[in-house]
Formats: sequence, C-alpha cells, structure tokens
Amino acid sequence: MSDDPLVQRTESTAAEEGGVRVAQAANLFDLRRIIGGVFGVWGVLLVILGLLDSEEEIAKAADVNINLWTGLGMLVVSAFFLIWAFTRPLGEELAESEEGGGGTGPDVAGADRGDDPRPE
Amino acid sequence: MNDVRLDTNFIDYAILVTYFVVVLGVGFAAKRYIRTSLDFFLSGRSLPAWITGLAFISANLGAIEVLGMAANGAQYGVATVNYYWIGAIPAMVFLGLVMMPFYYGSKVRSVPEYLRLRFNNSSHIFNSVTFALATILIAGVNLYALALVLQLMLGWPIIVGIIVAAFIVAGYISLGGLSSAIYNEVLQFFVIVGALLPLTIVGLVDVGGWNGLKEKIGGSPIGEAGLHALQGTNPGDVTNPIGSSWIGIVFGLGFVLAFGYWTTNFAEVQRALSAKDFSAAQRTPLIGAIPKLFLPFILILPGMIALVVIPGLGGDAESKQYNNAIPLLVDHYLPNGMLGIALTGLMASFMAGVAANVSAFNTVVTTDIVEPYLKRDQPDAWYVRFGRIATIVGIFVSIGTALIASTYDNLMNYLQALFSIFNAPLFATFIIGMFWKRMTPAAGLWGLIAGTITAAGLFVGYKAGWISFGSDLDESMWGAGSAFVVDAIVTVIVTLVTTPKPISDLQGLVYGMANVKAPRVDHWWQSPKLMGFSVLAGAAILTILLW
Repeated sequence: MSDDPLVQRTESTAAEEGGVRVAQAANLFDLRRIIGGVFGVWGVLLVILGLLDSEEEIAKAADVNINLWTGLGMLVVSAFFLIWAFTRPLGEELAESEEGGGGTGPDVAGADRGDDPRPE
Repeated sequence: MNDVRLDTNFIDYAILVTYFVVVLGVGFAAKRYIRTSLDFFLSGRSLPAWITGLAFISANLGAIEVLGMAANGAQYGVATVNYYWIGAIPAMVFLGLVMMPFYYGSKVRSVPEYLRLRFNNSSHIFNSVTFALATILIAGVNLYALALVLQLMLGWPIIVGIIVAAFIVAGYISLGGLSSAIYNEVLQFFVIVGALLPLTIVGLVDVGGWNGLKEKIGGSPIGEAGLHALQGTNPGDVTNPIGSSWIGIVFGLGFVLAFGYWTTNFAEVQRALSAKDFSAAQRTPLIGAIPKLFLPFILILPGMIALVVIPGLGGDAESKQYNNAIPLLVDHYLPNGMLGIALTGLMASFMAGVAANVSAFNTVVTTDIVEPYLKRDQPDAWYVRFGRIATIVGIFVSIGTALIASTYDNLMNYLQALFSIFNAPLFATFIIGMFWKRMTPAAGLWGLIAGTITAAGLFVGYKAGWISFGSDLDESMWGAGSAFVVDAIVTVIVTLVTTPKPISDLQGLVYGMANVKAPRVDHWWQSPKLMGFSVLAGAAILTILLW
C-alpha cells in the first residue's frame, strides 16, 4: 500500500465496497458467453450462406467456399468458449475465490488460456 | 466510380449491426457494476490475465496497424516483420518482467501518477498534459482512418463516418468505463482475426501457397530482396526494400521507438494495471506477446498477396494506394457474408484504436489533472461522473483532431512523429528514474522538457524545411533517438547539481525496492520468466526462419 494520500483514498473507497464486490466486478458478466454467442450466430449464418452460395461466388474466392469454412471455424470457436463458460460458471469461480484459493483441483478450463480464477 | 466500393447487401449490414448492438450492450451491462472510481478507471483492478492480455494487444490493433502493416507488407515485403519480432516483442517482455513490479506494486492508477510519486508535481503535471494531448491526437488519427475506409468501401461521406464512429465509442466508454473498453477490445480481437484469417487463407490458396507467393514476389517490384527480414541490411550496402540498416532497425525501431511506446504509453499500460493481481499484471504483456508473434501472418501476408494479385497496387491511381491493400483484397475475394465479417472486423479494429486512447484520456484527465490539482476531495461518485463527461468531451475534441490528421497524406508517419515527441523522452526519464535512486525530482522535470522540445523542434524544423532527413520515417527515428539522448544528458546534469529525494520516499518505486515479492504461481507454465523467455525465443526463431 502506498503512503500517498490520493492513492490511499481510492484504495480505501474500493475496500469499503467489500470483497464480494471486487469478486463481482472481476467477472462483470461472462465475456466468454458473449464471444461464444456472437460467433455462434455468425457461424450459423455463414454456414447457411456457404451452402446456398452460387458457383460464381465460390469461384470469386479462389474456388474456396469461404463462407462455409469460416462459418464452421466460428462454430468451433463458439463451442470452445461456451463449453469453457458452462463447465466453469462464474458462480463456481466466485465460490472458489472466497475459499481463498486453497483448492488444488485440476484447472481444466483456464489451462490453455493462462487464466486462473483463484486469487493469489 | 472508384473500384474499391464493396458490393454489400443486407446480410453484410445485418452482421455489422449485430456487432454494434453487442458492443453497446456490453457498455450497458458493464455500467451496472460501476460503483467506485476505481471500477470506472481501472475495472476495479479485477480482470483475469487472459482478458487484459488480449486487450493489451487489441488496444494497439487500430486502423494504422491493420492498414499500415499490410501497406508495408506490400511496399517492403517480409522485412515488415521486424516491426513485430524486433520492434515489439522484446519491449513487451521487458515491460512484463522488469517494469511491472514498479507500476503495479506502487498501486499507481496511471503512468503519469508514477512520475508524481517518483519525482514531483511539476513533472507530473507536464507529463499529464502532454499525454492527454497525445491521446487525443492519436484518437483523431484513428477516427479519420476509420472514416476514410468507410468512404472508400461504403461511400459514406467522411464527416458522417467520423460522427457515427465517435458516437458509438463515446456511448460504450462513458457507460461502462475501462471494463467496457477492455471487454470490447477482447471481442474485437477475435472479430479482427475472424475477418483477416479467412482472407489470408483464400489469398494463399489463390497464389499457390507460400512457395507460389515467393515465386510471384520474385517477379514483383520488390523482387527477391522483399523475401528477407534482415538479409541485405548491412550498413552502407542496404539492398533490402525496408531501406534501413540493421543498426537502425535494432536501435531506432527495436530500442527507442518500441520500448518508448510499449513501456510508457498509458493506453497500453492501463490494461495491465487493471489486472486482478500482480501475477496477472505481469502476465498481461506476456500473454499479449503470444498473438503478437503470429499477427504478421494475417497482417503482412495479405499485403504481399495484394501486391501480386491486385494489378497496379502502389501505382498512381488514388484507389490503388498501398494503404488500401486490405480493402482491395476484401473486394477481390470475399462473397456476401464474409464481406460483412471483414467490414465488421475493420470497424472493430478502428474503434479499438479510438477507444483505447479515449479510455486512457479520461483516466489521466480525471485522476491526474482534476483530482490532485483542480478539484480535490470530492465524493468518489463525483469523479466517476467527471470521467464520463471527460470521455464525451474527449471524443468531441478528437473529431477536431481527426480533421488535423486529414491534412497528412501518410498517417503512419504522422503517428510515428507523435510517438517520437511524446514517448521517447518519457522512456529515458522512466528508465533512469527506475534504476538510479539518486535521480532528483528536478531532473525528472527538466529531462522531460528538454527531450520533448528536442523531438518537437526537429519535427517542426523538418516540416518547415530548415533541416532535411532521408524520409518522414527517418525524421521520427532521429527525433526519437535525439529526444532520448538529450533527455538522458539533461537528467544526469540536473541530478548532479540538485538534491535527491530521501531514500525512504522511494519505497516501491525504484529498482531493488519493489513492493512485490515474487508472486506465487499455481502452475509452472504461469511463471512470467518462462513465458517471457519462451516468447523471445519464438521471435528469434521466426526471424531466423525468414532471415
């Protein structure tokens, strides 16, 4: 903690709001679901367009059905984020945070993103 | 008629509109959680590392980066990768491993605030004011670039494009503060990749893969020399299209410009300061460095592909400027649907550039200028309200600075000149101040002033024709270099004749006295040192592969 009065003031206002508040703000609302949702909707749209695209449109993109492939790619990304979000929902992470980070369970969801929901 | 105008239909617009709705929705959702000024300006210091890391990289992925790097790819070829693997990665690793203990450990809320604690109020005021000015000028550059592309691709008048984009950004930042800026930046990152990756793949398939591209580049204006990162950059015998020797690349670009930008630009550092703990703050630039390793493949490659598939690129025709490489490629290949995604990706990228600067601006104006000097001891909610107003005012001023930017024909060079004036001297002051306990508060102020005046003077002298340089870029490299050197010399001289701060006042601020212990890491792969050195090794290997 700094000795500086201005810095201290902000810090103490934040502290008064309580630890749970900090935990809530940590997650705001789940960004993983938003990314998963947006890419899911776009993915479905692009796959449908890809299946309906004319020869001419496919020829334009160097004979790659790019709508179809990008659509499928987006669905994979969407599935990744949604599975991550639903296997480790915010409520669970908050509960773990409050336990104080003593848990040693496998950190499956955060593993490949470098994310660790437990506090230091 | 210009030939970049996209053949958009309602599906493309539907994709774009969905995106705008989600972005504003994020703003509204974030607003519900804003209670204190710390929430508004630093997201309550609560975000996980993967979010701040991706926001860190996305804040830099603005218009100039996306259009400019593709343009450089078409103009200089493979050597453009030096902007990434030499000109960014080492600086990002340095920020994470060496500087973050002082930034995060001292609990400062902004980069200028570090100067207030380490030196004195006058150096703090000087830096806060110049920084606020710089962010507004840079936000203006991004707004203008956005409007240019909207005009080119959709035929919207410039001023309409500027105002629409300004309203959306002002909307979500004044609602949700930094959280909403950061959350949208992460979303933007995925949308930008989702737009550029398919474009690159289609282009590569079309030119016959990497080998086909190499063959075709060999027969293009940049020729065989355009296929190497560093070959042909020996001093005195530069044959590489980048036109600079390896000494210039390593010291000018890799050291002064890159370190100055990545380690002291608050628009970047703010993302790390909002992380939930010290370990996450340290990992922010390191996690950001991982996508940075691979971004050249979707930013520079499209430029090189455009060079061989778009006839007349870089020629005299207005619509065939290098800057239009990506829009031209989008128009050339993408069918409706993907076209909407690409358009959304470009809009997302430009808004990220504006938002990063505006969210840094509102923080500095509120916590560094108004709170300490103009309106002390107001209730916390007053500062949140002021931050919201500062956001809206900032956006309006950047509409004005967008019009200044519109008088420059090369935006990338304008931006580099701004960095040389604002970031290069600041980097010298920081690096000396962090490592030399004796450095005095007076030296902090006078070093900064001298460095800033030097770079600004060279810039004005060059523009007025009193001093000549090889090119605009050459001017900013010299400007940055001399600002750094002058700042360092003045700092040392002033330090020797003035009184230093008592050592007890420097706790947490200087090397050897950091407030943080080595953070506990739960998993071996979270070790910041391991991450940092792995990314550096990755950059070295990629550079050697494309030597």
